[in-house]
Amino acid sequence: MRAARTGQNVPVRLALVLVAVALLLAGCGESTDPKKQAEDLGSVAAEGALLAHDAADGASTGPFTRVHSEVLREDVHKLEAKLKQRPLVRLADEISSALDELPDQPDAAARRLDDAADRADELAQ
Amino acid sequence: MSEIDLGLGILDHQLVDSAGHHCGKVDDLELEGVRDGTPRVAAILTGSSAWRGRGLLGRLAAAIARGRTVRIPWEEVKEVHAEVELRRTAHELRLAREEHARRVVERIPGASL
Amino acid sequence: MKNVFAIALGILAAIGGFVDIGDIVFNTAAGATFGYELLWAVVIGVGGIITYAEMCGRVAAVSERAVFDAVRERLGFQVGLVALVAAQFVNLLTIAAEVGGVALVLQLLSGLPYRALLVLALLALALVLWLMPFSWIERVFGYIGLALLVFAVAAIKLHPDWAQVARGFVPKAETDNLAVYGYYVVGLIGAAMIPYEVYFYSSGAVEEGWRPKDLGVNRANAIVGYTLGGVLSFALMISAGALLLPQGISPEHLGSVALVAEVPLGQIGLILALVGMLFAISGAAIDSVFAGAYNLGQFFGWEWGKYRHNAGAPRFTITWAVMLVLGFLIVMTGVDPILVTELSVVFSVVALPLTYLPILLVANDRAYMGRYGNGVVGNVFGVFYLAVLVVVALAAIPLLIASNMGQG
Repeated sequence: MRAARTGQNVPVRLALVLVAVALLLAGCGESTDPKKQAEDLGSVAAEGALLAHDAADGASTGPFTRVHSEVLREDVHKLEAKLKQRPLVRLADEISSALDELPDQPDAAARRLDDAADRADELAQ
Repeated sequence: MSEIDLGLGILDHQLVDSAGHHCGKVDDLELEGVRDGTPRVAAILTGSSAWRGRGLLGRLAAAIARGRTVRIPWEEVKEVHAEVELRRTAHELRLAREEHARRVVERIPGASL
Repeated sequence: MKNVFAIALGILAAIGGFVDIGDIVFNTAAGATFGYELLWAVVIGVGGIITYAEMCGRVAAVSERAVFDAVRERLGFQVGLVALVAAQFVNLLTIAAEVGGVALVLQLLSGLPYRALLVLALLALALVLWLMPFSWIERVFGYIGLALLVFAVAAIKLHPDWAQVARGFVPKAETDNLAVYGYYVVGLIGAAMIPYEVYFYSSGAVEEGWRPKDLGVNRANAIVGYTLGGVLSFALMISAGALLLPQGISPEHLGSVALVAEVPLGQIGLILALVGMLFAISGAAIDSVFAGAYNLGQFFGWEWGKYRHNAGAPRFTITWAVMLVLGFLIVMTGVDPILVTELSVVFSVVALPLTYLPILLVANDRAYMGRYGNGVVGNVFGVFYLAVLVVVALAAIPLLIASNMGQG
């Protein structure tokens, strides 16, 4: 009787291990490949640029601009933790700072983010 | 369809009392006359401890749920189709009508909505 | 005339109610990653939900049984219990994802802090579930969810290469990142066929007292409603493909999805997108909470359903309240709702064959269905989709790992 019960535990334990592994691997989303890092920074910069242009044209709303630019800044911070190369670190700082001023100075932020996106493209080559 | 087929066919079906209320499922069956070649359903068993007759997972579930079994003699069955209709009310048959849960929910305003 | 009106209302509710946070996340991400190349996967998913929703509705109308009644009767106690546990696990993840999604959209609309809005979302959903009649819930959230049609307008305004869009309906896997491509195929089909949809649809059919005379309504609802709902999914993918892919933008947030409507259509586009998302995701939260309560009530033989009134089905009521609170607690830990969304879809994919096989069996059972059982066409589609689901279910977790959750 006891042997039968512990026998039933093995598939359950296996399933739990699979789930744990899946979750762990899912959590490890950040890459350490500099090319991919540059692409990720470029993505945030381009998205921020879209937001900034809309904000400058009055095509957005106050809360949305503030919340989304803050969310993008958090993305940059998460990426920054894994950056090793100096040009990428400088780029990340620039993007983060531009996103910070986005709600108040969308025009200036738009220009800075456009440039940052271009630079990220170059670094990704 | 012979009576035993009818009986076996109702396993895991919904029990409905004479007032039309759901009162659990047919969790197990009590058979008699198996050995003398005239098998009949003697009674319906309902309640979580009736799951003990339903295999390993059944025993596990019964141990966790720790409820009781209610025995409903076959004579109490009025009709069998999608659901198993009983002749009397759940109260008369001593079947649970979710009283504990009902007492909790009834206290909250809007419970009759 | 009144019947046509009823059908039209049901269809509208189905369109708006079809899209949930899983569809929003996967369709937008797929568009931003692969452009229009995965439109065919959406077609497969929509075809699957149409096939099985119609089947469930027919089973409910003819046998007056909803899914988990049929699961326990047809598969027995032990297998039924395994199916129940799997279903509830997936439902709970879905609930958490949708509740988190509601709070995220509220934050984008209001600027208020996320956690406070989670509490607000919990209270508002609980109030709706407690007070609103069943038919109202479906109508209100389904109709206002139609605001998501703004993405169809956005897609047109973004001037995609329509020839390329058309080519996207033909499956081809010409990509150097097969794992990521496969992950999105799995996610898109899974999001379209997410289990709570059929649990809710079939239980709703029993709630509304459908009988064989309503089989026409059932078929219309399923086919027209979900097809047009699929159009909403196409709109998300096409507009993301037209706007985000050329700019190399990978959408990580619901705000990114809203941007896709804001850029071509301005402030009005943004607001319609946010309101549409709010009601579509709220509706999905409500449906998945009910689905969890329906499943337990049907498996154990309790009174169940909104039509019984709150105190008339007390265990059912307590169950939905508990599931809502548990979902809330999961996202209250601060875990990203988008992550929970992706996991909920992938795990539900693994459970899909177990979800849909009993339905196919019951729909063929003459004892339940009389002369309304599956015909040849129904079975061809049913078996085809079951095979697709088995393949997809086996591939789901390996692809999740191999593709690093779609990140490559």
